[in-house]
Amino acid sequence: MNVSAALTNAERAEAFTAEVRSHLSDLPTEEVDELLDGLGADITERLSEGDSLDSLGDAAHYAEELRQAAGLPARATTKPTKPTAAERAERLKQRGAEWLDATPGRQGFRDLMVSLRPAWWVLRGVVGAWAALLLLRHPLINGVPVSLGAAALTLAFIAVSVQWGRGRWLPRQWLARVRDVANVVAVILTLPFLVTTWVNASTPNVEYVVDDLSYQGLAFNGGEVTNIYAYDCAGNLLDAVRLYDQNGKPITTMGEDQPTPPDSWVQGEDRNYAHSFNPIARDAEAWNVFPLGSARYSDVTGEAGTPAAAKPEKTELPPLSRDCVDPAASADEASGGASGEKPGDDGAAGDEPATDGNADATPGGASVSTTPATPANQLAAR
Amino acid sequence: MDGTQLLKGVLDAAVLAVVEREDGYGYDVVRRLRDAGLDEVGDASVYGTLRRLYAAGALSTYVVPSDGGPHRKYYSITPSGRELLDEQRGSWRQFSETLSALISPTQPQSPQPPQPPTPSTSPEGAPA
Repeated sequence: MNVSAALTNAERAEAFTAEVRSHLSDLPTEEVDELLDGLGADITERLSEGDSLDSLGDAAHYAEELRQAAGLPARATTKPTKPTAAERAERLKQRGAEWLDATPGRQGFRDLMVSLRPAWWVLRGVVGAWAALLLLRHPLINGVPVSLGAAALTLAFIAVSVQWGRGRWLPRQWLARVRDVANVVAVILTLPFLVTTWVNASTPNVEYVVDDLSYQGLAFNGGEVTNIYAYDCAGNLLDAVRLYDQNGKPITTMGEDQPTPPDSWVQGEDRNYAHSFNPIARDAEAWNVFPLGSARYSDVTGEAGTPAAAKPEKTELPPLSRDCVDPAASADEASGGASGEKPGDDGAAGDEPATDGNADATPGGASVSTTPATPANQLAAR
Repeated sequence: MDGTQLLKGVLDAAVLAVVEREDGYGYDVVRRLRDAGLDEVGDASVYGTLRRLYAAGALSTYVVPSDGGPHRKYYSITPSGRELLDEQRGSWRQFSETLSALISPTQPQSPQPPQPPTPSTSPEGAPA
């Protein structure tokens, strides 16, 4: 009492009320609130009239009297009947239902929500699938997992979600609990899902995936290069040129990785040709030796014929400059010396004063060495 | 102590009657009951009774803000509370009359006590 004397009447009244409340803790909060509403004020008034708290007696006794007079059940002495989680949930649900039923406006809202429930079931399925795909580290496009498998999984989730919403597909009791938990999780995940989707939809993160739709091989101005014809300085067609790129890798136009000889369409002839190795490179199976061989498809059998050296558009070009050695002439000169088969040509070549000098200068003309029969003369274009 | 025991049975009627006269909040009702002579009525009993009568629909409540303090919950009687009160008035009258008659110290009835033996004989005589 010494302690409480220092307190105001209101404080003492509240303390007493709180104590009474603690003795009624087994009752529903709502009930206790109703029961004790205004008690603090009443006791304060009492105290201010000169009464002492003692006149109210013991709080436990007071609570018991209150309980009896109000027709409420006596407190279970064996165990404090704390409501279980399920009871709480049920009570909350019930209270929510009562609240929604209270006014016509709320009823309308409730009815609207009820009619929107199937939409929620679908959304719930989508959110669930989205979360599952994230957990599975499915690759995302614009933050959304896009693939056939993802679509199938999403459809499966939607199906389960809708069926669960309709109370189906719940053969076991615990599945209903799983559904309830999943529902709560889905509610929680919906916001991040919507935010992610919205953010990604409003700022598309475009990735340019350079897909190898183009053929394996060479392209020129967007068109496929199927064959290459090289000419020497003098304008003669070279019949076996080995091409390499700046890294020393063979330059191929087609066919490198293909088990069967590739085809190409020759527009001028309106006909398909089957390609094969350059006749000289057949044993080496080198696709970087040009020109490649080709065989036209037969109109009759539809089969490709025997591969032969491909024919260029132009078999001969004008020489690049006057300094170019005509290898045909120089070869003739060389072989002519040995065999003497073509004295006329020989003589003609030999008569040209520039020939000898050019023969020495062939390194400059090396880029255009031609002799088909002597692979040693072929150059590696680097 | 006896008073409180007796009071329990009729507290409903007492509270209803007080509230019928004038609306009141909890302690106000307690005070008026005490002023009327029911000194031993417990606060908690009155509060509990008010709550129970309210839950039964015999009373309705409304809140009145009090000056400088917390609000007051006033109780007023409802039509069904009036019916209940009338009913209880009737039964109380009957009960009190019966009990008054029963326990009033009336001398002429004192020769009667020998009566108890007679009921025991009459059942025997009836079949005979």
